Amino acid sequence: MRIILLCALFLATLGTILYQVKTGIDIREDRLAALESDIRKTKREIAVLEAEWAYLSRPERVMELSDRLLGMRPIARDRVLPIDAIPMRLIPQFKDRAVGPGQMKPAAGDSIAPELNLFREISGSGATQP
Amino acid sequence: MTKTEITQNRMKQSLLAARSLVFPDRPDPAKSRRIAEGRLVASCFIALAVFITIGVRIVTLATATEAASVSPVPLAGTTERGQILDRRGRLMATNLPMTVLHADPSEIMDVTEAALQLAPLIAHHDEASLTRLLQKDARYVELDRKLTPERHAAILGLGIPGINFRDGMLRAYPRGNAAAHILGQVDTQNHGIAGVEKSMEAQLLAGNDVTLSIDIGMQAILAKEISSQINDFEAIGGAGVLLDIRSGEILAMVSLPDFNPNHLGKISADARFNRATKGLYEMGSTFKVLNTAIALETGAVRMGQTYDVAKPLRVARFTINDFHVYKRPLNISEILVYSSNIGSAKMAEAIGPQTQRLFMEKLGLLDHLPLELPEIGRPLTPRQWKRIETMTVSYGHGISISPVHLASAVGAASGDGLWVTPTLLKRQTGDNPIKTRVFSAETTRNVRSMMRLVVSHPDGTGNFAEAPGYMVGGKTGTAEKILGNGYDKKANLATFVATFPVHDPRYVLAVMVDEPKGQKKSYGYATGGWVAAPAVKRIVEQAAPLLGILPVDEESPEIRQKLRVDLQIGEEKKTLATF
Repeated sequence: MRIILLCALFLATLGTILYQVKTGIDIREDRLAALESDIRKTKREIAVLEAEWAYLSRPERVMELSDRLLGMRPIARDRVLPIDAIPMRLIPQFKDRAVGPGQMKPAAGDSIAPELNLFREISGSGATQP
Repeated sequence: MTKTEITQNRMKQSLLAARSLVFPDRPDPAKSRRIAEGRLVASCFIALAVFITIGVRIVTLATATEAASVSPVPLAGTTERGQILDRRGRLMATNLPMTVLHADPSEIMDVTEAALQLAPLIAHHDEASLTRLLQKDARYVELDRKLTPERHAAILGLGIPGINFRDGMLRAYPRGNAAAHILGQVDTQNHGIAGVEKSMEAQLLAGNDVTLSIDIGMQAILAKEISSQINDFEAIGGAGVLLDIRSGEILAMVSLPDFNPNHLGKISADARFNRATKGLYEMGSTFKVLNTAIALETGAVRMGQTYDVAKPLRVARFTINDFHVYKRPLNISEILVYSSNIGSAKMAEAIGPQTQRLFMEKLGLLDHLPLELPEIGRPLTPRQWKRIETMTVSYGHGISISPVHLASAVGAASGDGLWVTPTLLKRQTGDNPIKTRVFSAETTRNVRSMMRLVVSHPDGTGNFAEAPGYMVGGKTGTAEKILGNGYDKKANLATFVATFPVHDPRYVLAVMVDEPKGQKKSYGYATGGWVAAPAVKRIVEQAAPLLGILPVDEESPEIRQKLRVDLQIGEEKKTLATF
């Protein structure tokens, strides 16, 4: 009789442990699924922003903008030299004036607009930006 | 026993007797104990059964939640269509999450009110068409496939019952019109119906990205310059191909007019037509490059050999004429530089029909190219290849090919003599493109030197293509377009095929303008030299620095030794002869 009771107790303990482990796995799997869905969502957002970047960096648009705003011209051929033709030397008195990466200040309004231009262009609503 | 007691006993007995009339007899205690025990066991079993049921249910629910937590991700199962990238990994086609707006007409209470409120927010519908849609006897009507987040929020704010949203994926082409003919399109089910979207369908469906050989920068330069020539000369269209002849990669390929693949419905058949690959044209004098190369390669003609071109050439019922009449015999360099039809026809006669046909075949001009596009044309070639056909083919008539055909054939004749299969996919490192030798290095050196003179010599037909320092060589072509059985005198095809830099050939650029009209500034001319050559100059000037080509001094000895400088163009000075 005692043996049976002990066995029952043992089985009950095993059952409880199994249940605990199972619940633990469930919780972890839920977290994993949430993380994966988060990653997918973020990846999608990155893809949208990449598409927006591609849309805004169209050569046609950049050409037009640089024509209008920068006043640049095609490089004259006497301005093109092979790199070996230039003596590489930094003049000491200008060393401190060199602008390193990350020192440029972002212009005002440099943020991601909630309504992306590409969306607007594709869905045919609103004015198309140049 | 007193009397009272007796009476009481009697009463008791009579009561018991009366009870036994209604109720059964009392059981004996032992029996009722057994019954009670039986009931106890039964209720024990019932309680146990209830607990077991609850336990089993808990376990089933536990397994059910586990299964459910995996499935509710709707997009995880379907792989997203692969992206299309340019040769430097820049995005050309991608997928955007978009909201699909749909409605259940049976749930809409006030159709007119709903239509009135929705109309300004939906791009492709007005009030009337919306009313019609919402009155349909259906449970599902689609109102807008491309809802932006902004309009999604606005429509959600209206709170119209029966209006629903669904997540969707939309194929988007962020570069707009650029390379539209190469990319193609997908239908509403996201299946490719044209261009690379169709030819690379299997790879894209599997979720793999496709990297093209196209450079979007080059693409933009070509599109801009060719369309500016189309506008200036009131042409109906144009095409351009920039080919890397070492790898066979097509760096840019435009066909104008083009279209915006993001707007599927609005595209005309003419805009959709790919003039660069599907369009077949008689390329005219640009073929003289091939003719000269074949003549030199086969030994039918020697360098410096001259031909009498003074009189028009009559063959059967045809007459072959020249634009200018040259009284003196022309050498073969002059035939190319002055673009003499008569001279070319005579050279072709020396080559012979069989040999010419064989070379055309080796140059890929008799069959469609194995390009990664569904829209490719198969050249129209002479049905019989006799003497007269040989002569007309020598100056680009009687054979119709696409601009890509022209670029790849001229690539072999002016490059290293190897014909490379052109491709629209970026070659991976280690890829060895199949190359067939067609011409010897010596032949192509001669051809290149002559092509340079077409551009650099004052009497050449391609002076407007001169981009100083970048050593452009080329050949103009002006062909009358076929109209019925004859030629249309008013409809021209102006072409220019360039190779640069000629001292170290790497790129071939073919530019074609369809039906340009003569302008005041071109003195009424609408020839390849006037229409296509200036575009070539501007394209080379912008593209060469991006391609890493350094401008050189043509007179420097290193450059001169790579070309033939002894070619005689124009009459020798009398003074030189007398001394």
